[in-house]
Amino acid sequence: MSDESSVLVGVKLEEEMTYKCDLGQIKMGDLFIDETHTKYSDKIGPNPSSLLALSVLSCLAASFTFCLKKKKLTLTELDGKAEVVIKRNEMGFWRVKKIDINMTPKIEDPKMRKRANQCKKFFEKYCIIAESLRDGIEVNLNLDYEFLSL
Amino acid sequence: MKAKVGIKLDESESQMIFKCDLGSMKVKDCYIDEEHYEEVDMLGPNPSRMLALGVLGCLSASFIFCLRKRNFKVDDFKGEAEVTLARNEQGFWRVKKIDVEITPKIEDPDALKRAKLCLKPMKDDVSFFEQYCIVTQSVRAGIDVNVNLNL
Repeated sequence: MSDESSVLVGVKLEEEMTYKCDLGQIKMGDLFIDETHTKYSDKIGPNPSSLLALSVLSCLAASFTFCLKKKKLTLTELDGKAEVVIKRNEMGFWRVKKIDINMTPKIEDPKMRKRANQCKKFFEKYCIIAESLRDGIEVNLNLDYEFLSL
Repeated sequence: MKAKVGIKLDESESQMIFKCDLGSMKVKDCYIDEEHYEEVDMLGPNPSRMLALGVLGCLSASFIFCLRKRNFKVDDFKGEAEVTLARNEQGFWRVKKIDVEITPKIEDPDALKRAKLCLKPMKDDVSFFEQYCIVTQSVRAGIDVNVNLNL
């Protein structure tokens, strides 16, 4: 890979404030961005803040699993949760203040725990999204595997 | 205001594909794929594409919302976002910029007049509709977001 790369996505208006994503040749069913509905159970897709949260969360999760994979260690489970907190700034506009991430991988053996402890020290640096956002948004990560039985 | 989402490791052996957990939303299919590099092999967008969709979706909704405030509609609407990644001085990949191109089709002259008002710069030379886009304005401290709206 060269020192620069790019990716392209698109949207088309579906109805009111709902957009259909254009993901090119990616093999996934239709993905919608829904800013029409406010109630979760009415939504047919995430809103932009949720997409931002998914982006940061999945990026951190992938960086962590990649770090384990480097030593040929594989997880059987990893759950992640992200909560986006949106507050008004001094001018009264809503802004993303912070994203709190909780990741709970299932660590099954001491070898994996040892490697996970090593990864914990540096894997965030390899997450393109979280590190790119941190100048403007607080991204807090809690990686919790200490209390899982071995 | 808060928004919550989750992911779970997909059952495949790759360890780099995640299934979205969007609670009670009516979403059948949502995967994030960091395993495959070629678009044609990907089972879902990667995190960079998700970020681009967040920014593009937010800007699109802000613009449409600005028109709707005066009961105007677009005749058609499409948008594109290109994310450029580059290495920083320490050699780590970072999001350098996101270029957004928004193309609404508006035939009603009154709606067009309103659309031009939505583009009017406010403080810091940021247009009215951009100021109301939560995601774009929040990421701009770390990432250049260039917006081009073609009327």
